[in-house]
This record gives sequence, structure tokens and C-alpha cells, in this order.
Amino acid sequence: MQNEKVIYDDGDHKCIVFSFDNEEVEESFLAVNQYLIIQKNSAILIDPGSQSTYDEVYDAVCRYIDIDNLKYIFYSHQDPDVAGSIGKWSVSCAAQQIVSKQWIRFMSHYGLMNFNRVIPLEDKGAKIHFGEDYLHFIPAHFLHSPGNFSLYDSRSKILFSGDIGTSITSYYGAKSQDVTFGEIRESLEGFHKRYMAGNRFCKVWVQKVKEHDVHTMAPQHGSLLSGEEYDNFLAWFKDLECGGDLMESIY
Amino acid sequence: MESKNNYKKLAKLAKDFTLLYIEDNSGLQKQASKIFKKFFPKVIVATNGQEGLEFFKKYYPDIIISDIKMPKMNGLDMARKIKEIDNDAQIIITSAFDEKEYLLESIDIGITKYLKKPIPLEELIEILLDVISQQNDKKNRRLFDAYTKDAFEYQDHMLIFIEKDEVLMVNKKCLEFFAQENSKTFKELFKTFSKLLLPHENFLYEKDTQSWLEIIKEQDGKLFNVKLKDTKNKNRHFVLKANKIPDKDNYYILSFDDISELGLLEEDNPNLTDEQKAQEEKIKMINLLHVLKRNKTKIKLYNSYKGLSISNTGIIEEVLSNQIKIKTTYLQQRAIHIDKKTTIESELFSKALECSLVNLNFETQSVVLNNFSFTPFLPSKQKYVRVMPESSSFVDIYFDAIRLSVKIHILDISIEGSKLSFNSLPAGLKENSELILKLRLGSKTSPLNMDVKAEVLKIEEHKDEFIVIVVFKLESESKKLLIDYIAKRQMALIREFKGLQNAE
Ligand SMILES: [Fe+2]
Ligand SMILES: [Fe+2]
Repeated sequence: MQNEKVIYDDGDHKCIVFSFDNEEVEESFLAVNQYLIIQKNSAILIDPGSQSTYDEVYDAVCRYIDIDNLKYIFYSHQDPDVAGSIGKWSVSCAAQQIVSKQWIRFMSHYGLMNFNRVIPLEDKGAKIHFGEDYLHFIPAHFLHSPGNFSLYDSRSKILFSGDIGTSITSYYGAKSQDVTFGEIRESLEGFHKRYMAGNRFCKVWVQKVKEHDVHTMAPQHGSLLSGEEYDNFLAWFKDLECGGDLMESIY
Repeated sequence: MESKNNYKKLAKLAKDFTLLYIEDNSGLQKQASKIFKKFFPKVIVATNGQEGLEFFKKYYPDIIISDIKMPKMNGLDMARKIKEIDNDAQIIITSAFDEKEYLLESIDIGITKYLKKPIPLEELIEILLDVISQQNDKKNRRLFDAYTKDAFEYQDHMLIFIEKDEVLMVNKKCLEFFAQENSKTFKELFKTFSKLLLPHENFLYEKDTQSWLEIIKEQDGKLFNVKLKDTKNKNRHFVLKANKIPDKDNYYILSFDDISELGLLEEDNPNLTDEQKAQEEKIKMINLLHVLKRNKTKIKLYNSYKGLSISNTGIIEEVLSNQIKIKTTYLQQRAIHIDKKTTIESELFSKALECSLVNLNFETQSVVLNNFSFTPFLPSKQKYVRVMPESSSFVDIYFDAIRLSVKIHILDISIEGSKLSFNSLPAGLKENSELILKLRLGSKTSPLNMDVKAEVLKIEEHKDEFIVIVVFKLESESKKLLIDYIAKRQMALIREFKGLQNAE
């Protein structure tokens, strides 16, 4: 079974996806993708996941880098499938932890107390140097979390979109193959309609990510989408009625 | 009711405005100017366009209301001439005629409003309110622009206003320091500014990895030490800060605060006694605290609870010769309250400042501290999370395959190593000695037992104990067990710490 895959490599800069099946979530077919970006002696881990997959992710990261070179861990939002392992990561490495400032005060519940090693993201987002390139933290609030960010890597041109783009498919993460938007559209729909807060948030996010040259969108669950298929996703997401737009149906 | 409110509003807003009213019908003129005088402190009345133009040049009124058909010069001809003098003049034309031609001409001239007589008073007041509040906004903006420009120009700090890496504006102080004629020549100089930042330990200057400008822009609001040469070739010490213009991408104001007078660049005088040195250092530190306060810069506060580091930012509110007042988070206040002390770090200090608690106020979030002393140990340099194990934990240590018989106590533990307290020092134990630690961590009921190889990093002799710091050599399996243990212990300590708050 393949559970890791290099999705970008130009010799100096590398992106890897790990897909460790989390038993609890596999029941509901929502497997989790973790991502690692490496440039020379620096690395950033994206949405490392829950307590239960911590060991596997830690081992996987150590296969690629010396754990001391893990400079940042980015948590797109506060959910347990994203940040549940924050306490363990805070103990096991010296990385700076990047998370929305909206969630800082809640992090002690996951076992994090030393805010000296936390980089709180302002609502407007941020841009940080990473090797010779930049990492852009793009606001994605209320999609679905109130303090939520997508991460754009300017070198690989991959947009790490967190829960946005979640599809329930067997071609997820490291097992991903070239899928078309049309093929996964149905599996995207249910999740986005229920979990995303409303169309006005979708619209402004699409506008924001269009400021960047994105080749591939890499979500936390499900398939990666590239090129035209990514464009098709944006066109669909921009006009999607979801969350509050469909309130009557859930009350 | 609404109209009454508008009357009051207009009277209030129009109190600094002058009105010029031009009307040839003397009955109407008297009647209307009586009303206008209720709102405008100064109403000037003219009976034809020519007179109106003369009065305009003489009094520079803020608002002009004029009829069209009048002897000598009609209202529109007058308006055109006034507009030639002041394109910003606010002219309201009133006319009994609904002629399209007049209306088109009025638009062409750029008059503010075209009203058809008779004009209901309510409507007129509403229109005047509109015009006046727009005028007020403009006035205020102009005033603000002039003031901020002045403030920028004559600031005591050197200021550079940039967009991306281009200079937009630079103040007088800055031009003088760099001996530049004008902002044009400075713009050229700025392109090679990195060469002017002189290397100095812990200072900001161009290193090969990242440009100085990128560094300060990424961390806007943070203070950086920089060294620059003045026109007399003397080194000056500045505190540099980039302030991002809110809601605007790429616009920053760089400010340079000259703190050379603090003498931080000077070498320590070798002739001083230790006591004098300490005294000098203390004065420098107080001066730096003043700089931090002046720049409203965040400091970092560190406390620990059973080994666990608790850290938040704070701001200095007051600096006196022997005490300071800071503002920080509730959590940190709690930690300081338990510790009765705290440690302060700032990017401006090369050392950390330890101070004791005088008093704190949870309501105002303030903490008063005194008894400053320096510590070379920077808490921010602590790489890994440390925790103090449960009191039931213990360790047996084997040195050269012999179990040490001294009393040993675990002070804290991380995945890197451990800090141990020995009641006496076993013979032969020194730095680099190799040990085997048989650890028993956790609760009595489900302890974690593990054997760990370690090396002595440092031994410190204290009054009634020896502190021995050891570094672990962990196999990957035991490393995982230890990570798991520390993460759980961390969680438990957080709960305990929070419980202490609730218990009070
Ligand atoms: Fe989520
Ligand atoms: Fe998720």
C-alpha cells in the first residue's frame, strides 16, 4: 500500500504527501493527507493530524529530514484531525508552530502552553520567507473554521487548501491519480454544502487564491486537482450555495 | 421632527461658514437672508452678478447661492468667473425657470446644485447640510494632510516612507544624516542602503541569505539594532522599526531612533571594578527599557511551572529608576503570581532580565517588578519542552557499571536530556562521563520504566547540592516513549496549573 508520494521535486525543493489511514476516520471514509515541504535544510509540515497518526507521521518525516530541520509546523485550523497532535509535536521537535491567532488561547487544551514557539497568524494572513522562496498564508476563514488559512508555496505552485477541496474518494493523497473535477464533483458536494459557512466566503476565497499562480490544489482530505481541473473546481466553488445559504434544510 | 433635527445640525455645522447670497428681487432677498442668518454667522448679500463676483473676491465665502436672471451680470456668467478663480467653489443656482439650456450650462460650469424656485425650506436645509458636511470633510482632510506631513517632516526620528523597496518620501532628519540634497538623491542612495548597515554582533545588516528590508518588513513592529556612520565618520546606534500602513499592501514607514547616547556601542571600560561595571550595565538596561517603552515594543515574559515554560508577550507601561510596570496576559500574570518573579527578554537585550514581583493587578492587567538582575541564560534558547516528573518518579544511575549510591532527584526532563540534583558528587564523575539511567517515570500504578544512555554535559556546584545536566542518547523506540510521557505530563501540568487558578 502506497502511503507517501513526492508530488513536487526540482532538486532543491520538494513536496511530499503522506496518507496514513486513521482508523477512526476510515470508518467514515475520510482519510487524512499530511504534507511536508523541504528546501535544503528547512522543512515545514502541514496539518500533521491527530494524536493517533502522530507516530507514523513522525517516522515518515524522519525518513526525509533530520527532525532538527523541521522549522515550522502549520495548522490550517483547530480541528482534531489537523491539530490534535500539537502537544506531542511541541515536545518532540523545536519547530515554530504557525496557527491562526483565533485559536491560540484554545491550544492549551491540546497540551500547548509555551507561546514563545507559536507564530500567531493575523486574520489578514502573512507571507514568510522559506529558503529562497515564499510561503503565503491566505485567509480562508469560515471555510470551514472561523480562523482558517490556506497555504500557497510559491516555488512548487501548490495550494495547500486544508478542508477546502475535500472529496471522499479512494484516490486520495498519496494514492491520488489524475482525476477530473467531474469525476469527484459528487463526492465534493455533500461535504462542502454542509461544512462551508456560506457562498460569500467561497467567493472571496476564490478571489484571493486567484491572485496566485496555482498549478495544483492539495486538500487535507481526498484528491489533488491540477490545471484545468483546479479551474473547474474554482468555478464550481465560487457559486456554491452552502452553509447558511441552505439553513432551512438543517433546522 | 426630522426637519427640526436638521435645523439644529445645520446651525452647528455652519458655524464657521460664510454664505454669499445673490438675488435681485429685494422682497425675496430680505426674506431669505433672514432665514440664512439663523444658520450662518456671516451672510453677505449682493443684488447682481457683478456685485456677487466682487464680494466673492473680497470675502472668499464658503458657499454661494445665486439667482440666474439679474441685471449687469447674470448668475451663470458670475458662476463661471468664480469657478475660474476657485474651481472648488460651492455654488448653488436657484432659478424660476426650468429651462434645459440653463441646466446644461450649469453642469458645464460645474455648479454644485441646480434648484427650482420656489424651494421648500426643508429641502434647502437638507442640501446645505450635504454641501457643508462634504466641505467639512475636505477641510479636515486637508488639515490632517498638512499636519501629518509636518509631523513626518519634523519628526525627531529619521523616517523613510516606502512602497515595496522604493522610497516615496523621506524626512528632513534623514536627509541631513545622510548628507543628501533632496529626496531624489536619497532615492538613489537607498538602492545601496544595505552597504551602509555596518556589521555588529546581534545587529541587523546584510547577510547573504535575506535582504535587511525583507527581514524588517516581515516582522513589522519589531525593533532591530543597526549601526550607521554619520557624516563625521562616527558610528551611531539606531533602533530600526518598520511600521506597516494598515490595510495597504507594501507600504511601510521605516523609523530610526538614535540611541547612540546610551553608549551601548562602546567597549566596556577595562579599568572599572566589577561593581562599577554592574552599575553601568544597570543604567544601560534602564535606558533600553525606556527605548522599549517609547516604541511600545512587545517584550517576552517567561515563567515556569514545574519545569513547564509559560510565556507570553507584554508591554512596558512605566520605567522608574528601580522598578517597572508592565502589562501582560492573565495567564502570565497567574504564572508570575505563583513564581513571585519573571524573566524578561527583548530583541534589544543580549541578556535576559530577571526581576521580582512587587505587586500585580488582574483588573488592569498590570504587574510591577523590581530587583533587576541579568542572566546569561535566555529562556527563548530553550529548545525542547521540559517537565518536572511526578514526585513518585526516580532514577538509578550506573557509572562504570556501578550503581551510584548518592541521593539523586530529577529536576526536569526533556527529550534532549535531564537536569538532576545530586546530594554529593560521586568520585570520578565529570563532564563527558558516560552513564546509564534507569528511569522510572509517572504514577506509581502505571510507571514508564526505561534504560537510557546519557553523557554528562555540565556539573554545577551549589550550596547544598550538585546540579548535573545530562544529554540522552536515545534509541528511536525509547525516544517515542519519552515523547509520549512528556506530552502527557505536559498536559497534566497544564491542568494542574489551571486548577491552581480555579482553586483561588
Ligand atoms: Fe476541519
Ligand atoms: Fe479536516
